[in-house]
Amino acid sequence: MTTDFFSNLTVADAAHEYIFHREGMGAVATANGVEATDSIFMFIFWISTVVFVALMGAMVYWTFKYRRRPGTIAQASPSHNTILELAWSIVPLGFFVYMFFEGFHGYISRLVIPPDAIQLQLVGRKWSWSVTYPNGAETPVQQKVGASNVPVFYVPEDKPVMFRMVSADVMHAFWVPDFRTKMDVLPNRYTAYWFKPERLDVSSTGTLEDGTRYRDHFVFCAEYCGDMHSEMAAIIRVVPEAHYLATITKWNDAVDPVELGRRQWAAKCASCHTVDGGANTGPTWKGLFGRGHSFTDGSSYTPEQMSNPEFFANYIRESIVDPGKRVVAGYPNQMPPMGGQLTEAQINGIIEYIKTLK
Amino acid sequence: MASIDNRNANTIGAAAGHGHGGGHHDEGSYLSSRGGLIATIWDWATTIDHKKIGVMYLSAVLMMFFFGGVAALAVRTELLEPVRNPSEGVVTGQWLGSFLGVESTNIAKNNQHYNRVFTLHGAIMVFMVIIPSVPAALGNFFIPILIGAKDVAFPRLNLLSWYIYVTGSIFGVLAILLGGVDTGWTFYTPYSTTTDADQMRVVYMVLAAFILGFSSILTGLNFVVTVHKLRAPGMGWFDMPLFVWAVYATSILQVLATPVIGITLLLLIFERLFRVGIFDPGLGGDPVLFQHFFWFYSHPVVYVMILPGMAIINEIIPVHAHKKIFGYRSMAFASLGIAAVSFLVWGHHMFTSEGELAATVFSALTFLVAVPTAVKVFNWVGTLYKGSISMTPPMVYALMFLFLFTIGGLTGLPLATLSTDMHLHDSYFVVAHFHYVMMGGTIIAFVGGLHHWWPKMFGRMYNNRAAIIFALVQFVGFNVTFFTQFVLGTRGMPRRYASYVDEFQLLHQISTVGSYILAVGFTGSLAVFVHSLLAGKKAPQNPWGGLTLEWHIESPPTTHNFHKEPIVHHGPYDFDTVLPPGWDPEDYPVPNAREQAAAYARAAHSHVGHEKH
Repeated sequence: MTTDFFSNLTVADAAHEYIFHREGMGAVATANGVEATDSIFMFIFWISTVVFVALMGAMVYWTFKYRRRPGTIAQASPSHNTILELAWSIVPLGFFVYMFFEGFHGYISRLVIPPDAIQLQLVGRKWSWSVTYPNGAETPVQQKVGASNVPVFYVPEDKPVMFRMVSADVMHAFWVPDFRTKMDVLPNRYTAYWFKPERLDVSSTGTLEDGTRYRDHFVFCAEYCGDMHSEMAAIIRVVPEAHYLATITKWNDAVDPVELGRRQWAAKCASCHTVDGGANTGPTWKGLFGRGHSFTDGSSYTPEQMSNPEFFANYIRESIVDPGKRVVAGYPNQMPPMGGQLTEAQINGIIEYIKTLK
Repeated sequence: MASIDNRNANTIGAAAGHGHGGGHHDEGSYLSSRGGLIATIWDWATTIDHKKIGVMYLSAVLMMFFFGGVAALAVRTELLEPVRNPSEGVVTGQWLGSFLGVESTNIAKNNQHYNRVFTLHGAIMVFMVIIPSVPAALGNFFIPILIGAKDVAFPRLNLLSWYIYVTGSIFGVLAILLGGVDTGWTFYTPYSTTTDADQMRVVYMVLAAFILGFSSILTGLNFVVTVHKLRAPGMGWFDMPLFVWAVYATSILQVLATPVIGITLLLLIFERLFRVGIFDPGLGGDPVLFQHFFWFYSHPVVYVMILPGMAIINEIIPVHAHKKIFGYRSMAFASLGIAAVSFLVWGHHMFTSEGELAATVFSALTFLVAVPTAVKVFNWVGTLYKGSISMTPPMVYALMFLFLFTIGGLTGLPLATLSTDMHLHDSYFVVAHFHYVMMGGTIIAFVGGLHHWWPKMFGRMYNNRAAIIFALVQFVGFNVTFFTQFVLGTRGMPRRYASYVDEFQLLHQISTVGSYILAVGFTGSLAVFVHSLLAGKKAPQNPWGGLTLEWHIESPPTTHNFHKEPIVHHGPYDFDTVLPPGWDPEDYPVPNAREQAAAYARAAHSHVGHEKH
């Protein structure tokens, strides 16, 4: 459970097994590699604490003991000691070598992807994440985190899962703090992120409406990517494998265009466009059909034009594939072209969905 | 005096220590003006005196530190609140937004302000404060004096460096006045080549960093030549004060590394203006290439920032502990070793870029840098052993430095370790780590060095008690601000976030309160210095009892520093064999004075009398 110090938000019902908390409470790790990372971190922590306390103890004690007194000068003492100096160079080096190999071991285990991992396609863009499942499905589920709606990605428990990641624009980084690892998402090549969520246990799970247990983990973008960088979050929801399979199959069922559009909105548009009239980076979709528009280049569309279904459809399509062509006055030109990431059916779905938002 | 040949005794004798500023000198203080206001301004603007140039750098750096500090306070104030639902009327950026007259409900617009302000903070603090602080301000003033020279090797080049610095800063300020830059101080591509594409602001800011780089290169070159060619007779390499060693190592880094960032930033400007594909994959470039170029410069520059801080601690601790520094040679070699290895560790900023095997090499090399750094800390603490320690303000800053820098160094270990870095990279843990090193290290050392040399620079003492109180306020404020950020980072708080999930709020609020305490501390120090200038007691020649050459001359120094070329007969920290200039048995009664006096006589009457270290 999260601890909301000033609770006014519905935040993810996430596990949040922080390093100190997990080590201190002895809670189970949330994914593979977490225990190894935490234990090397705690090893460094305790070594550092001992060294720090010893050094500062010596510093404070000597500063006090050898404080300047009238009538005294510094006592004679050596200003050089080869054995001591070699010792305090070589002993730390020994610890460093150990830390290096432990870290190397953990790093490699994070990079080598098991051959049986479920491969999901992940796209990062300003400012949202989307995941395509092996059967082509995308998540329609979203949850409010802060002021934004973020997508919820379902993954099965106790199975290796791999994201093949690419960015649609600038650099992003995919970080799940609970999994203790992150990887940059680059615009010109694939990078990979894999994890194997531990089994769900009673202590750290929530329950879905149908009684299925689950565990949530926050995803944050960790590479600065612009205005809404801090809103670029997502939630990874670990569920039993059967529920996972059923869910992605259900998501992929043939749906009517409006529902298809709503799902695309939830997955790719919700971080910037609200459907309830609220303000956000882009114009709200509520009442868009039939609403007159003024654009930053001085041109404008009348309510009559925007009520014409064919005119309206063309405008929305243009706004998706070439968003910089006509920017609604009062909004920044920040939307990346989305044409390559949506099928014709999905674009049509979005148009039909917007029409329903009265 | 002890360190000086008899021929110079008329100017640098014990009497000069007491009769400071006496009329028998053939020239006045470097600060004395020779005419009206306009003549004085013209005199300063065209001066080739390294001390005046140092003072001008100092005022510019302090002014920029003020601006950067205000930006930091704005960032911290903004982070008092996590994001709020716009329908409830409060969103992140609201505080900054309302200050700048922006409607409070538009998250993106308000975030833009936050992003511009944290970029402003980073760019100002790195390029205009920390990099020039110690070398350009204090280094300019003291490097020539510490090696017994009249000036740097190329005084006119030195003035040119200053004007290049001013030009670069003007471009930086221009970028800010035109609306600010939101790239972060690291200018990562392709974000930096595409953001605000219709504006020139990013180009101006990049140009500012490019121009400031030339100022660094020329100052570095000047110092390298100065140290090689202008050392006083009798001063071998291992008779140099450690401040000179560390600034020398810094200067080599600046000369070798800065051209790389110059080229990189030019390429960035080319890509932005002429759409030449170098870093932007949309044009056929490679964004990771920029990171390699950038950190190939910026990692050595991390040591350009910290080595001068260490340099100051090297001076403060032996002088105020009245004891020879422990491990002089290992200190000197540690500076050079750090400088050399620092060229080979740039890849540790990119452990999570692609997950390449090459990262392991960088991790191993990074641990290698940790060894000489640890040796330095051990040496400093070892110097305190059996010392005679005065708790003067500079010493308080030096002890603060040891505390904060040790934390900064130790928290580098989990960042050098590959697997833990995958968790901590780009989190608040990194933010806390580099603030402990850059601010707790360099800035605290800089302020400590300012306290150490203030009486020499301006000929005035300050109120010791007030200075110590504000130092302690800074110490408390610093730890409250940044220690909480280590906890935030391990818990998953990413850096450069305008808003965050609720559970981080308490820690963020503690951190913000700490930043206010820090502001009080630094404002207090400023007041102490202003009071000193207006009403401070006249400083004696050697208020702390130091042995290095700056303590053999008047406070403030005359235009040519020394009346005759000094000849050096002892090492900079030979407190065990040499008495400080201006030493008065009434002030500092010494029990074994006879022994000391004998050692002094040996040193004073021998032309090859400097001790081995």
